[in-house]
Amino acid sequence: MGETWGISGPAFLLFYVVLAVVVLIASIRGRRAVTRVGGAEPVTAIRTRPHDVAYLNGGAELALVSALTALRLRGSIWSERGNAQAVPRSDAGHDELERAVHAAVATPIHRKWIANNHWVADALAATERRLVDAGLLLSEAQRRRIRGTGWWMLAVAGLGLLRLLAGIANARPVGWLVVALIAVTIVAVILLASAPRRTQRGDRTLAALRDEHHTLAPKERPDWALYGPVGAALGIGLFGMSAVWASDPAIAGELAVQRMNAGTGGGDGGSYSGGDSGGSSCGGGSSCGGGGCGGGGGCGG
Amino acid sequence: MASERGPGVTGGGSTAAWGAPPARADRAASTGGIDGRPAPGGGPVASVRGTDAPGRPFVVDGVGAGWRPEIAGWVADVPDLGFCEVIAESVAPAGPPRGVVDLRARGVPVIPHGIRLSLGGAEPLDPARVTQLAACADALDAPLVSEHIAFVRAAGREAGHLLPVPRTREALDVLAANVARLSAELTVPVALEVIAALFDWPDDELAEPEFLAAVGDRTGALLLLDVANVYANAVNRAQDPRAVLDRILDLVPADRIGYVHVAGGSARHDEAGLYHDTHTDPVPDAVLALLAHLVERAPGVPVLLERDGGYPPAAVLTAELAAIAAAARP
Repeated sequence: MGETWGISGPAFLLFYVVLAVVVLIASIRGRRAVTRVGGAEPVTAIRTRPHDVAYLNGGAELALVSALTALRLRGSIWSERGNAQAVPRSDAGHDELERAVHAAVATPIHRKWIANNHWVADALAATERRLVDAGLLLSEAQRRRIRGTGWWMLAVAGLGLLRLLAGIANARPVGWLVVALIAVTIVAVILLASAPRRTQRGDRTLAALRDEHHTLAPKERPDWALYGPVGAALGIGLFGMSAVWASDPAIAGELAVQRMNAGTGGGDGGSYSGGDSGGSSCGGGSSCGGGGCGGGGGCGG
Repeated sequence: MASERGPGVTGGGSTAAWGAPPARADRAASTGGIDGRPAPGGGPVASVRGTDAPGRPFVVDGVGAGWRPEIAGWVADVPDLGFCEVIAESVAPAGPPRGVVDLRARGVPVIPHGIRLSLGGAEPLDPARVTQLAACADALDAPLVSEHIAFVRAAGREAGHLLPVPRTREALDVLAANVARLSAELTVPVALEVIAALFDWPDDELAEPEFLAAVGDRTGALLLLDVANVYANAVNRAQDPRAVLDRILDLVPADRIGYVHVAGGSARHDEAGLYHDTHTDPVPDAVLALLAHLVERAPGVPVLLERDGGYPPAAVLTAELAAIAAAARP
């Protein structure tokens, strides 16, 4: 009853963990490379379309909150308990998204359902296209490529599985290999399932604009009567839902805006670089390999 | 509007979808660094402290605005901002607000304006408050500091308001002692502001103009002449604001005026028609006219708009400041 594949358990386990770490590093680098396509120069010109900024920061939901807030500040809609309704014969404004939202709320509707309206959906899709074309949001193809890096790690998991089966067939202890295999599989699934939305350029654009418009940050409680609907929308776009609570709690209540920021870039932001969501779970796996398994006999099949 | 506010079009990356950068951003870009901070030496140049140049006897110059965090973006964009004022109690000397730091970097003088020192109080000044105000002046490299001829607490109770001191010799002694105590820690002059008071003490010995002159003589402080407060005090006592102002200017030499405050207010019809110095309403025409009269008698006096709430759209506030500038610089 020799060693499985002629390799001792501890030796295989060490090799396996090193392989997993190397593949993880390569995956993260590969993911980052995709987010860096197109350069890193911020596109601060998007400040002229605050709802685009909101979409870049927090997706469709934040863009709709910023559009609804602008309409509400302009007196073009009423809102209550999350429902919005256009004021009859009120000004829909010039912005495409605001016009679509204004049309969508001709009859009262909760803001959660507004995106289902086809005018709104079209306006949001156009926003997404603009941001992708400007290299601020990742395209679906780029996101697929990023998630695709997970296949490398899944291959590592496959190798581990083969060894596990062989080890079991060979009646060798496999406890530590199972631990490593689970960790590798979890990392692979995370890599396969997750991709950031923004490119590095998108992150830098948000960071540059947050810096440029620091006077709109929630901690200053910027006065929306003074800054007007456009300033308010830019504040929401850059600093997220908490901007509504800071500047106009009444509107925040009316629109049923959540008080916390659900990760859409609150405070000083800009540090989220995307693509390394697997990084933290990697930590667990590698520390197992490095420390726990070195001395133990018979742990790798 | 806000989209046109930010300084600094950061380089490159301008995409057709969002059009050309706005014109105001271009103006700001000429003074702004790539990170949005103004480059040294850029921006509307304000006068520097302690100008001894002929025809400029004042410590600051031009037309200013009170800096408040809620409107910091507007203050930063005021064209040719001469100086500004920040509530001293709201500034941590170790880390002043970024908007204020940016203004200082542009060369705009910033005056710490204390509101809770209680210089008119019979109790000793709180040493921590004195130290804080002095540290604030140092941190901002301020040309002067200002406070009020008022008290805000007595016997351990906070009034939450600026209360008038009785216009008596005793009160002058108290003010002189407190200002001396404050000045001992300061390296810059103090300006003391006339407050708006809705009542007078029964034991007043002096009229307000005589009292203000005496305060200047006894304390050596400059006068922060709030024309809106002069107006409020006069109309609420059925006096002619212009006559009161003239009397003040007869007694207080123009070069003893540190600067001038202007603020909005309103008559509340439900309360015996008293005029309230709210700082949340537009500046009434009567106050602007009083300012114009003041400037005739004290040409070149620096003027600052105080607005603390009820803000209008930025363009309206800009127009109000322009009206003040027109009255102050005919």
